[in-house]
Amino acid sequence: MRKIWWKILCIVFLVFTVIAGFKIKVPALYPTQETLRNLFFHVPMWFGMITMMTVSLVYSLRFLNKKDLKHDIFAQNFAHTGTLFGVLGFITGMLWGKYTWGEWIPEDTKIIGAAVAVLFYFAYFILRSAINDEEKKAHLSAAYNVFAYVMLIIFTVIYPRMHASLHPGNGGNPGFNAYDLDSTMRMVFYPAIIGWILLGVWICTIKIRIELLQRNTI
Amino acid sequence: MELRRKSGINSILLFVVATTFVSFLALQTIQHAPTWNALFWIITLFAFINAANNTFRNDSENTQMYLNQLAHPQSILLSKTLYNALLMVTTGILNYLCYSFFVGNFISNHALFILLIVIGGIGFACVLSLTNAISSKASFNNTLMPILSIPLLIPFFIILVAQTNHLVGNKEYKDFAYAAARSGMEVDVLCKNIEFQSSTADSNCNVFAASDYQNKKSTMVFCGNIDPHNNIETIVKGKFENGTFYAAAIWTKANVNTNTSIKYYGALSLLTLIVLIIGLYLYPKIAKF
Repeated sequence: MRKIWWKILCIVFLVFTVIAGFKIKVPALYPTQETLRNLFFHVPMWFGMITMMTVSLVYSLRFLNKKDLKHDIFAQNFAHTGTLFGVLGFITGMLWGKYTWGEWIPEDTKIIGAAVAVLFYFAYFILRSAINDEEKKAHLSAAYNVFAYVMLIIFTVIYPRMHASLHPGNGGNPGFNAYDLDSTMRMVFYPAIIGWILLGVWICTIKIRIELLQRNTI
Repeated sequence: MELRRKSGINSILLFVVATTFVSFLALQTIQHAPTWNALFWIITLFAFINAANNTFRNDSENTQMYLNQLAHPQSILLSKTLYNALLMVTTGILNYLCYSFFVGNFISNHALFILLIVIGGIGFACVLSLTNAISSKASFNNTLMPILSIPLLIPFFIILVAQTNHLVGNKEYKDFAYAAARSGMEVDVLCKNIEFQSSTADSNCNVFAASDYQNKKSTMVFCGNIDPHNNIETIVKGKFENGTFYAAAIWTKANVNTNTSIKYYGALSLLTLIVLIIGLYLYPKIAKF
């Protein structure tokens, strides 16, 4: 946990992402044009969210099997950061949507799916805040977390594939898709994904350590 | 055991009748199929949530402890789910009857719609039993229940509403006069009769004489293969240009597309199964609280 190399890697990747993301030449595609740079910020958010939620699910399942309250704190904080990433993904997506599709929130299956997915986790936090007893809170929210994760996968992975979408990769969208990324963009895109995920993990570890310290003092 | 508590069932019946009656008072009759669809599922949703609200909450702590000693938690959840499913299917069908009596009925295929209610009701029962098990353990469980369950019910709703839209045909169909007034704009015209007239120079395209519901005739050009649609209600999608109707797609009205239906029903059953399995896995872990 307290190793330093991945934090340095995270900083290097993110600085690289920001600098290179704004400096490199991106292919001028209709309708994205220069907004294509948002790819380095919008898409990694969703990668980050799914990663955080998966880690959260793993800790929830471990809690349900081992009954260690520490796992519950892990699960909660990872879900928290995942939701933060989801909201950031929304904000960057709205900006992007405004300049390419002309609307802040166009009607689109992927957007609906993501919105509902984030809604599950809001419900998860409301559930947590509604229970006072620690044990009970941990058990019930872990159960709900498993439920929410399955729905999250249904909504972000399966559901958009069943319908046409404005997003690239499905439907008859003229923009780019994953295969159109040219090699310079890939050079920035993959480090960006890793960098953002590492940043998420970093935020989580700090939050978890704060919470563990607080519990110890009490 | 639940059947002994008559007041629960009666209150649900009253709820259904009262809401449909209120919507009848407010709307008289609904002309617009999507509105019918939305209102129907909203009423059903709240009737279901009300129905499921009592699943675990009415058992006192002592009863729950007693039940946990008697049976495996999985069988408790399964029995509660079964009971809920029964209750919800009954409520749903009753709601449908009431709703069609007061507000009107847009459904073309009643058997398929009732099948939809049955599968949907079982799915809802699976979700609501588990969320009720969770929320009954918390304080403020009255407000918590909808908060927890509505996001989880959204996938069911998407499928149910889509399939209902499919069954009601969803669109309002126009006639040729309407299409002619908006030439260049794509509209769906409901035709009574389409007759073959001639082929155009381009051998793929044919000219037809089509008559719409007002018995207004129009020449129609369609490129592609169709069977002669004599005296079958046909929907033609296309637009007017220079006095001729160019059809882009033609389909018959009576047919509900079977492939889409199978897709929707399959997805709904699969979803129900997934939820049930997860519920059975999770419930023993939280039953003791």
